[in-house]
Amino acid sequence: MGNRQDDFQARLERIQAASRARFDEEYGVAQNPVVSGRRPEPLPSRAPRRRGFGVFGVLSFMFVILLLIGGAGTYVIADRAISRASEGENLAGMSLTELVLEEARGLLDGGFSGVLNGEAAFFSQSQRETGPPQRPWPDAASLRVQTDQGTILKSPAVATRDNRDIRAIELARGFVRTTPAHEPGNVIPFEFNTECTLRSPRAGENVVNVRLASAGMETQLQAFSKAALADVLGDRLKSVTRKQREYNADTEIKGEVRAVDVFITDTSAPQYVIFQTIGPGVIWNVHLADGVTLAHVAMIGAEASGFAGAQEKTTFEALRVGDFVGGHSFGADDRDRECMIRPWREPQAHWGNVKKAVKNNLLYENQVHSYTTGHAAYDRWMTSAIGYSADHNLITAKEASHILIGPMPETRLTYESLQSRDIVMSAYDYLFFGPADARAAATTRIHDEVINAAIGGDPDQILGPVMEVLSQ
Amino acid sequence: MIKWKLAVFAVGLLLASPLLLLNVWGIKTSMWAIDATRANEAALAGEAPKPVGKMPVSPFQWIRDNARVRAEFDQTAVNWRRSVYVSDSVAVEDLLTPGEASPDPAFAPLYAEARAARHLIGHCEDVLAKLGTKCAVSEASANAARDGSYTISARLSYAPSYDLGTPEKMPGGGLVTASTRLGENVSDDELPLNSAEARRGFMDQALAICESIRTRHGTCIINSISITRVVKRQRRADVEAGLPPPPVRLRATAQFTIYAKENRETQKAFREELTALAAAT
Repeated sequence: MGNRQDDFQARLERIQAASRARFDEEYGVAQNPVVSGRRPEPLPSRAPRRRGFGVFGVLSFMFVILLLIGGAGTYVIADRAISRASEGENLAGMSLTELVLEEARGLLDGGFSGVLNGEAAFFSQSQRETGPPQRPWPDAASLRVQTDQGTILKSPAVATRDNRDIRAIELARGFVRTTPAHEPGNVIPFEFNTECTLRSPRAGENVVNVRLASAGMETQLQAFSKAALADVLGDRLKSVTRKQREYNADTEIKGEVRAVDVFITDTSAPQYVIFQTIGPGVIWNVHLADGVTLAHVAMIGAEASGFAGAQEKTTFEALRVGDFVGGHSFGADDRDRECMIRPWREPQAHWGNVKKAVKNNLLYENQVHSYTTGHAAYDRWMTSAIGYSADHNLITAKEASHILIGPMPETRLTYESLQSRDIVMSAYDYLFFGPADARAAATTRIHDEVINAAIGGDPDQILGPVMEVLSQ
Repeated sequence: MIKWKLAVFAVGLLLASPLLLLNVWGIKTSMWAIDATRANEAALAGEAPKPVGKMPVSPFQWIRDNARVRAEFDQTAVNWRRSVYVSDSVAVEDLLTPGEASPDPAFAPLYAEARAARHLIGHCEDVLAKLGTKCAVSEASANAARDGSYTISARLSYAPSYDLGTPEKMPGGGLVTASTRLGENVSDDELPLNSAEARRGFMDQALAICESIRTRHGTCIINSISITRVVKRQRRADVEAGLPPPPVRLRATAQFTIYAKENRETQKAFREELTALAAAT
């Protein structure tokens, strides 16, 4: 038996050797030389592979998908909550945890689609703003964006008293949207009112209230005060001296000044217009139709206030909110006070936060309550100050770029952008205009000069060195 | 093959369990925050406040606790948990270098905030003389007073020159902290006058207390000595009579930490012990 096996083994080796010789002869290389005469182990027979991922695969896939959805949802909720907290929204003393939970509840109530729509609107708007001019002009109704705090009217939509859908192009010939490329003419400074008073309307004057949260168009103007600069630089210092962080020179005051076009077509009486805003500084770029008399311009704003296009006899004045009312905080600047000039807008049924408040969302209930009491207090102040309600002949929006006071004009007005137009503007410690990069450089230089002088040395050594006992 | 998959699943579960624990803790904390808010709202509304339990402790708190014990007993590091608080009242002009122009009034608070640390770092000499081998300003601030001056204050953190002892690990062990006023029975008029000698005197007193504590408990850290200025208001009649204002005196409180069993009884006993020691020294 053993001999037969040996014979077989010897025969096999001869066959393999012959085969290898043939292979070498044919290809000139050695391939898989047989190093032992032992027969290679046969490969285990493979079980037929099942199609699909199997139960574990499916479960793992579902787990990953759930993680992705959960992560995205958490990001959206936290991002909205943190944004609102950092924007100083009236949060009624809620902690971030509560805020996140409120946001989550709001989204579960059907707000997710709103978030997604909002993002889409934002991106499409960004494209519109950065892309080439749109021809034909978009439909006015499509330029209304509803937000938690009212309507944003995108340019060229015009805010009117009766909320008509009008575009600026229908009001003025040669309309172009004001941009930072427009270089204004002379800037004529004036001082803010030091007393909390406004000139009383005279008999026969038509009082009009225009109230925005902010203006829609950018300009190349920039204005800020020494006090505001000191606040920003103080925060920089305190992050080092009180919070033990590295000195960070990135935070800078913006001092942004925006613009709104105001078309006045009401010839029935001399106009007494009260421009009100709580956002960044605003230049009210006034366009008067033939026959209009602009008697008085009163401005109430949080920052710089100015206007262009007034008549020779137009009188004007401005109140700065911060001179009489402290910083915004729930229960503080929404109550009666001697000079209650924070221009609160009354919440309306179409506001997002009112809709959410109706659904018993505590956060929005508090916010709407604050807006409502704030508006009532502001209205009482206005009534006592000039004898007219703050809502008398009111034109309002969260944000607008163009406003119409009066009827549609029979013939279009001639549009004047801020290019080379003289501006009467509240005096500021720092007021400059020019291209964005030049303004940015000037802003940084001003910050550096003041902070370096205050520190009197190396910003990285504000807290001083480590002192040690000298070894003897 | 099933065995391998189960093994991978088990390992995955093991790796994921810390995250699961954190999530459970996060949910518990959120629920606790809601309960606490409701209790506050009820109290504000004049209703009987509902009892709210303690905030849930993180499942990984022990990691932080161990790190904190190590940091507290690190003999060589300048650690903000060991600090001396000092303050002063200055005019902005006191902070300027010779010949330097006075700042624009709008920017005076910036000058005070930026230069408070440099003005008060001199007090590190007292710290180095008594408590530490190294000293640095870890915090400083300036607040405007009504009279136009600034109250500037600083936290001087130090690496101790005295022995802290070595904490011996024990079940339920942790950092037990209590505070006492230095010079417990001293009236305001008997407080020491504002001087380096007085500040060093407080440090001596704290060191003596700490020495007694360490003898008994094996460990002692002087976490903080807060030295505050006591300025008595001048009577109008004295002002009108042209009398000089009353002198500035100093008051101090100190906080001590030991490593011991962390419970209410230990805490109470340590507080009583400290009060007795402060009265005796």
